[in-house]
Amino acid sequence: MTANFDGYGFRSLYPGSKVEENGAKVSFKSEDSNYHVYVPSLHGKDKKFDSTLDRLADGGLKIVLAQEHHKGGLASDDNAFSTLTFDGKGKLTSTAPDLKIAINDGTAYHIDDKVTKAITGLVEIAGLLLAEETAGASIALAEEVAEDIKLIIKAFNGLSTILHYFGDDGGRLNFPAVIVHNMNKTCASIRA
Amino acid sequence: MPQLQFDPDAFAAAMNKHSEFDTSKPHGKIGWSDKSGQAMTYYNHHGLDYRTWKPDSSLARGGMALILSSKIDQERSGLDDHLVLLACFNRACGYVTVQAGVQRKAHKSAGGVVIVAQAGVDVLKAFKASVDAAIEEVLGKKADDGFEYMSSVAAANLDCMRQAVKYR
Repeated sequence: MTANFDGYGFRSLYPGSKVEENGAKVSFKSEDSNYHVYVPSLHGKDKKFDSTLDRLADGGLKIVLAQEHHKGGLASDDNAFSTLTFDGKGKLTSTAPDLKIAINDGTAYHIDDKVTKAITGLVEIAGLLLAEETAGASIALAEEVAEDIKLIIKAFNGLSTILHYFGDDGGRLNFPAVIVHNMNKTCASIRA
Repeated sequence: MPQLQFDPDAFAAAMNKHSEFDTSKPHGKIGWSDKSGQAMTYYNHHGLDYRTWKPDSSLARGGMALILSSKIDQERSGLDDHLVLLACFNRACGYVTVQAGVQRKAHKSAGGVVIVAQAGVDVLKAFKASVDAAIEEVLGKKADDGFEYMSSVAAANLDCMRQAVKYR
């Protein structure tokens, strides 16, 4: 089994955005701020700041998603790197420690499981997704999505604890939400 | 094929009907009229004013879930207080998980526990309690200057957001 990343599909998940740099970069707005996400590709390593995509021996993928909160003018952008690994069936296998965020080009903050509070009931998520109205949805898909959601809620929870480093800048405070939506859209663009 | 969607106008309509907020004169109706249509401002019954930013949404794989995020500002002279929230909904338009982090005037912050909507969990009540605990963690005491209303305001926002999640 081999997992693939659908770059076209990924870009289409940003309606109203601008695609720049020959399709390598998506520029979009959230609230009243500007953000960039780089489309993962095998050529990502050629550039200084880009998302990367590596194929793993088991047919899986390792994606490092490069993201920016663009401030304009001479101000340094905030940037974040989210690492997501998938097995050959496209199921997410990475965990929250792989998220790194740098504010104002300064100190990088890592999110690890130690800062995420005890999250109980995670085993229930697949069951909660299979609500009454989901007739036809497979249990396998629900379990796959449950893994994505677990990563997203852990990452967001970890980021919530360091919000004060983000100052009173609205675009920066919104960056954690932008990051987890980017991660969700990456998961939604995996084909296997 | 029906799809999970978020309707910002239904969110605003639900906010107008919610008992938490004061829409009488001179405050008036709540709508997307702030920040070039990206936010709404409103008052609670203690005369404190807030801003909610238009939520971002993304669909999980296969459209199995909708993830919503938003930020709530409590306007202060000088630096504001903030709350960021994330909620995940299933195709029955019900909660899967909800969570929030709070930030005090850019100095301190705390993440609340993640609420999983298991059977028997009153999501809004648990969410409010988690925000109260996060605020207490940030301040080292129960808030007494208006920050204590943030949890009710956030829970009311969440309730109204859920009413604006549609599967159609």
